[in-house]
Amino acid sequence: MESTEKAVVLDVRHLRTEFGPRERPLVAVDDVSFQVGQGEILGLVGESGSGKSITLRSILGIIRPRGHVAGEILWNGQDLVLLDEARLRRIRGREIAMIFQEPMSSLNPLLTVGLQIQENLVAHTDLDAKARKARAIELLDLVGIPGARNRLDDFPHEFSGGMRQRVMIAIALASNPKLLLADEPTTALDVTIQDQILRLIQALSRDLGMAVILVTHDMGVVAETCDRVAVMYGGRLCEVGTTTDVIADARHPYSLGLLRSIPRDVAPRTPLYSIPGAPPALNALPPGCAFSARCPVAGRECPDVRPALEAIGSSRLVGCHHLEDALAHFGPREAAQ
Amino acid sequence: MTSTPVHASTTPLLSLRALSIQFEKRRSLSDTLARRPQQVVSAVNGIDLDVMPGETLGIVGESGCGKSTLARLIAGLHRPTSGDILFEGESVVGLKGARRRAYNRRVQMMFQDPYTSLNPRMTVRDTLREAITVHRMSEGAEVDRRVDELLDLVRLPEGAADKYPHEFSGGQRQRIGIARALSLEPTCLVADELVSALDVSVQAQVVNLLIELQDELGLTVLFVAHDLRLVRHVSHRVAVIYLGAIVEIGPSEALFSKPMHPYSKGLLAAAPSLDPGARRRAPALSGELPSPLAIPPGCPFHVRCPHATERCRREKPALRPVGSGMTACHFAETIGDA
Repeated sequence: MESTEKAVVLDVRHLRTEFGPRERPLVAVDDVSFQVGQGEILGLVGESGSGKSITLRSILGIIRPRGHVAGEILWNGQDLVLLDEARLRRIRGREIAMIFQEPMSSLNPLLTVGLQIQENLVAHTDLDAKARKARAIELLDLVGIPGARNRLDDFPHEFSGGMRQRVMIAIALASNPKLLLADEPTTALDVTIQDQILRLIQALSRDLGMAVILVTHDMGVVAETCDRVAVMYGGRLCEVGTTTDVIADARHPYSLGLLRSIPRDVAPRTPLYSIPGAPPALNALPPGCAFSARCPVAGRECPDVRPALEAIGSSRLVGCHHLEDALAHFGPREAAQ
Repeated sequence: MTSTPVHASTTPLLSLRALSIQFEKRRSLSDTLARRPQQVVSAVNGIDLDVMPGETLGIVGESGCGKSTLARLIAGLHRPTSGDILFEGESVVGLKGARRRAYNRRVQMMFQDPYTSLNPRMTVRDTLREAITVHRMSEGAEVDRRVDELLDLVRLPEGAADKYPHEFSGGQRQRIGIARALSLEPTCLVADELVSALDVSVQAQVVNLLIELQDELGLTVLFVAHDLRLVRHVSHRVAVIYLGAIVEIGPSEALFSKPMHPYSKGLLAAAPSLDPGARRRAPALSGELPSPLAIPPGCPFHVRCPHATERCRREKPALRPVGSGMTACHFAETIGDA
């Protein structure tokens, strides 16, 4: 997928992450390729077990228990997959930073937040102690923590969930990263706080020219925040495109079903569209299309023949053998909306 | 007060009258030595509510607003500090013995987490059988027939009865939870974040089942959830809770299409919409829910309200009829139409 207007900062090609014995591996991410442009927010959306978080962790080489990553992850011309731990550490946390879903368990409960921000500044900048403190206050201020100066000496438990996530973001920003990996950063938060954090991430991306990969399971979060979206299912990409295109005119049966199962413009208390069955287990994926077992338009070849991601128009990739059937199946209701 | 009933002719199934509950925070030794006053969490503050038979009442609010505590109060898992709960016109707060059990049977709760709300060492059959025999719903061979009937009702596959919870997916476990609640032939179901832990594609299956069963069995449902889109879809009426009090209640469609209270407005605007064209740069609602240890005087929402005036800081607004529902705001008319 080409993002024409923005310079590409991260280029992931044929990423494959597997766990367990090499002869009988569990493939969590299978042949995933995407690019992220400078200052762009890419949404990676999918259900639990779809491989979206593993994709994110593969980029930074923090797969635990140790998985095997193959493919290319091109960052400024360097392939991160080939780097050894020491060289990777110079990029991880400095050029590419990450924030996680649960700010309580990713912050050290025994250290003040000021110390935790300054820790990152020691690791990644040349600032002296006084400058580090000033920078820490500046960062807390940047992420919207009221009275930043007075909160440096507070411990994580003295902050609310939303404020802790802001602290996490401040720590991530300490090294002026070019790319922020956000793994469900708002899932544990209320809608009102989620909204505040998403607006913050958007503003930071815009003002600092920072690219963001936002992993989420919520299409609404994607619609409100991301420039482009990649939909994952069973460790594979099934559709990639601009947010506006995918939400208004999804093509893959899974994206169509996912969007249709969210109640909007339907009469109250009428049955919602639901995708039959449950997401597949990693050890029970068919050789062909991962979605074939739940797909309403699957043909006989679907479980055996893997559909390639093919371009539709200038900015969309979809991997499905039965695009026309999918549109026909989901079409009538779409027209009625 | 009474809120606008959906079925105007009938009497309410469930009525809450000035219902309140306070939890005392544990004092540490140093608190006692320093003679710091006992801290009290006011989780629910004087809620008046009528729930009509057969209706679905949605309850929404931020975490910590007291919506789950309210659900647990109704299910009898907490005892209110003051106020009353009337079920078919009869107070249920002080009930004991057989009459308590009868109420417990008729009001069943379903929980959020399908992984911790089922006993991992009991098969589905054991779980259902326990509920049925404790309440003497049926006996002998009848019990097993009833178990099969229930599993069929919630559409679990044949042979599910003799499996353990870990053998099911999250959505299937929630179905087991629903079957367990239905095994006692309840009148009222309290669903506390029933589908929040489930994947989006599976949520719809469970919600469809709930609506269908409700219509089939004529159940009354209290649907506590933070997913506003789902609440809008399943509820006849919706109550918006802020710091343990109802700030707005009204027919679902009216409330969602035109909220009157500034908090409801902010809450609804903060929910992610599926329209990338409707993006905002500024958050819909600033600030956070204040601690229930220290509820602001006057209107509890005034510290976050963009419209707050001096009057809001002093005087607590009462819940009063505005439009088609009820709103607790001094300026609901002017704000609601803005």
